[in-house]
Amino acid sequence: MAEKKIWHGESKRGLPSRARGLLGLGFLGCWVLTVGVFASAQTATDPGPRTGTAGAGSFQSGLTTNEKNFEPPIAGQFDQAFSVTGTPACYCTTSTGTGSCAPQTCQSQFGLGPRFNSNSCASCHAQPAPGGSSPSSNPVFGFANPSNTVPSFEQANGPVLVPRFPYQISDLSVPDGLVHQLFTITGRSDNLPGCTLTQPNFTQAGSQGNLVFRQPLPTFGDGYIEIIENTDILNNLNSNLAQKQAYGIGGAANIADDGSISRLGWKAQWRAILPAAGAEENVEMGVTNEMFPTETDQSNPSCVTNPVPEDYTNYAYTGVNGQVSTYTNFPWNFPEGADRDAIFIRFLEQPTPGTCIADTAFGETAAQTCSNGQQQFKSAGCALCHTVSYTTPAGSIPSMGHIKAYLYSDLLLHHMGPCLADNVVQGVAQGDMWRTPPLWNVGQRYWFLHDGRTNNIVTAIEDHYCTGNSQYPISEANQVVTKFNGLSAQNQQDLINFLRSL
Amino acid sequence: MPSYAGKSLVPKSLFRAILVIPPLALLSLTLATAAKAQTATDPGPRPCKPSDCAGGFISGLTTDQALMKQQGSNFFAEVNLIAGGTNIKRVGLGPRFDANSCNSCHAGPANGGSSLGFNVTPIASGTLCPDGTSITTPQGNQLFAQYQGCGAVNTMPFFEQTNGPTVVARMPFRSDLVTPDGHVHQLFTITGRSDAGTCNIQQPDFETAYAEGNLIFRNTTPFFGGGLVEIIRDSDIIANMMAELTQKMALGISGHPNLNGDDGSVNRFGWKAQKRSLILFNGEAYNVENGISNEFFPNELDETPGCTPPFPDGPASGGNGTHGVPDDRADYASLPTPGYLMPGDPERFAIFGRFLAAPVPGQCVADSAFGETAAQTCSNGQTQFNNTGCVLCHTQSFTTPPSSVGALGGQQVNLYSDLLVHDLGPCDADNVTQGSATGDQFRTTPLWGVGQRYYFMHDGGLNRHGLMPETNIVQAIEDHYCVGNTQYPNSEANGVITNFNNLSPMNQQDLVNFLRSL
Repeated sequence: MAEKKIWHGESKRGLPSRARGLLGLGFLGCWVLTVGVFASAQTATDPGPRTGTAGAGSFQSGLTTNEKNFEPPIAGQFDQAFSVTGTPACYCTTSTGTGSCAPQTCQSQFGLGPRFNSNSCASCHAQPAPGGSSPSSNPVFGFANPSNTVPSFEQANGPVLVPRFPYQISDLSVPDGLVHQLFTITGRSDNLPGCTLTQPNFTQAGSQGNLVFRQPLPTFGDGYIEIIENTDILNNLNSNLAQKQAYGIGGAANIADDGSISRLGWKAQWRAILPAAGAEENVEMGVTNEMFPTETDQSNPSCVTNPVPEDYTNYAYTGVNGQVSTYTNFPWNFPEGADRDAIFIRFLEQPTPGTCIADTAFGETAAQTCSNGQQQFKSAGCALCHTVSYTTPAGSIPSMGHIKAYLYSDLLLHHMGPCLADNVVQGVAQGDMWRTPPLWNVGQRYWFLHDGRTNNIVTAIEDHYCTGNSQYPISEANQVVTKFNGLSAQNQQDLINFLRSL
Repeated sequence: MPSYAGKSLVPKSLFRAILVIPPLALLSLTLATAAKAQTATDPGPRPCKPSDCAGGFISGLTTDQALMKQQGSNFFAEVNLIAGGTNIKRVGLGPRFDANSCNSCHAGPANGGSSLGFNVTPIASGTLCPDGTSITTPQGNQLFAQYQGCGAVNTMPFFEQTNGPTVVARMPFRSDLVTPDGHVHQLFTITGRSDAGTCNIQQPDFETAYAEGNLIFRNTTPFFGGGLVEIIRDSDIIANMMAELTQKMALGISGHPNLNGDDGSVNRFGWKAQKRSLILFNGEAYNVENGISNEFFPNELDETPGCTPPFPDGPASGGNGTHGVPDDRADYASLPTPGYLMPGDPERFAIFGRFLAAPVPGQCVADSAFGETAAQTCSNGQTQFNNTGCVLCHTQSFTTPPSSVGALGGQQVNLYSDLLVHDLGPCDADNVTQGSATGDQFRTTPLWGVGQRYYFMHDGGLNRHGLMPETNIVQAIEDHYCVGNTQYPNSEANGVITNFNNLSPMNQQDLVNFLRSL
């Protein structure tokens, strides 16, 4: 059982949600209304994040020796804490035994800011292992200094929340939607001389109703997700149509520039790991790279004196053992850090489920609980969007081909109603649309939904329910959540315990 | 001299406007309004001399960087097969594709450039198929060398011409003509090729799409100087946008950046400024144009059974069949020593593009009819270019900030573009929206190297001129003029074109000769 989490001063752990519904405060109007309508039968309890073996964070076992050999240097890149200035840290990856060792691997480690949310990938992608989701202790509190305060929406024992403004803070009629980084390099000991920047006015944005948040998504298994065939995703979209229509479930694909299905990120706004890694390196850490060479703020010339891009190809050519570059081994360069981060993520194995907590109140073993829980997951209709698995096609990394990926997502976008809407449009994804988040590893997550609004997985299920308004339609999950609430107490609890086993 | 359907196109014509056939009523109206004073003659593409031809590399590269640039060039020129190539980096073509290598289209006047000019022989020639047959490489449009290469059963789409621009096709709308599409529809398939296994798919129905007004074309954009363009600061681009506002407003010029949806930066590559950087551009193009799935776009363009990997190794194989998706990826086994990593081809193409030098201007053709020397012509031509207002969008230069590739930093970049997108009116509208670039908006095309280009405007003239290639730079200037309609506003260039048409014959000619010196 995990420790108690506090959110907005309200305990959401171990408290029957019927009581929570009655306790709901007035400003949570949508949520209260929602719960009041349908939650009378909800009795399940969240056993909390699954402890024990992580079951995530390791490289795929089928990789070749050559591929596995990249694990230490690229994991180091993912863990690397960036500073504002400095030089790349280079080291020998192996002992050559033939004289001096030329630097072969250079970790990008400078270029933080001028605006940033955190200083390493692993600081936010941490639970239960590097590559994962938000840790139990919020890393952004480490960046407070005389010039930077931690915004009030961040909590020391809460999820890392990355803020976006749906509309421009100076003109609420103009869409914005971009990340507005929490911090500046001003006030840091390694600040660039004369660089003075102020943090965004989150207070004003909040008072405008113009402040939305997203928490880190885990990346385990993304290497499989990115090669799933579009055809399979579309076939799945068009399966079980009668049942989906009866439930009010639609679904839409977000579309990438080549016409394929974009599938990573909260709104499926990214097609593949590599461009996402490039974008995130700049957006979250302010480290310019060869994909995104623009500094996060160029308004003060003193803040952009680092040569750009700060993360770049290591052009160092000199090899070891007297080897000469030829067509087949060109070039001997490690690519930029963002590329290495992408390799790290690509090679992470899909999460391994754990055992269920036995629903002993109803006399069940762990196996019986999980088996029935999965059955209820399907019969309630959860699996209509949280598709249990896809199988990858033949892979050019052979071990990644023909893998059954138990991701529990259709990789499609769905309307979730005004209660979850963030008013940010990304491609096909409208302001109330979200990608079905893969549920693999959900048993180990501390916070749920895009903005980490709850640490209780039962509440997370209930939060899928939302009535529509003049702006957005009802949530596509409403019928399924109603079915969940109609389950017997035992079936509900088994379903919950099943989820926590993932 | 280029021709289409047996008709001489008279590339240096003074009189194209009055030769225009009736179906192009809108064009006639436009020219009647704007072009009455047009008297200049296009001297034609400037011959490519070693001293002033694009395609060289930037100076000041380190030894390591210099060693990579030529390798990058080789990869850029590699001809991709479906399977059975001699190297893992040379497989994965299709199942749908426009061309089999980058420099099929980025060819003129050198690797990394634009469409190869008419009657120009390409640098590379002779491609071996897996079955031992070779593809002969003709002059001009390189697609004619490929479309039935290695046994493929493609027909050549009617809009491609041996002496025309190498264009790709997009359909603004889906077949219902209502739902936006906008994506590239590849010209060819691998069906019938000796290395294509059992793949059997059809080419798109371009005739129907064209008849429905749902087929638009895009010529190839050159990469010269790309490494400089990608690091120009957004703040400099925005400051330039905000400069000389009074004059811009008087002429009806505005313009705005196409902002990247990820980090909010100013996108700047492609006809609609839809791409932020060379790597991202290459990742898309490698799949969209060559059908080679990669770490940016990992799946095949068509997943019909039999058309996706694995494909069997061909007879000439060294064991390098296409084993799965993505076709192209980092090569983790390139050396026995761990720690050496070959990145994917998009990154390597980007090294090539990043190190390509800016085009080198050449001499003006002297306007001897008015007694001018070459130097006088160029000097006055540039003055007229500035005075008419061309330069308000075709910004002469930006300066790069310090760069981690030292040779790219602190450079004056004479690109002649503001890197913004502008309304060009319904005449050139392609009805494709990309980011904040709407159906009639295009990025100000950088004019460096324009003196050596054969085809102008985003479509090489094909959409606007009834499939006739646009080879005349004077016509290209005039085509910036367009009257708005209910769907799209006036072209932002109208005031400037009127200024151009009001210039004296000498000033007009000098301006044109100046452009051809770039």
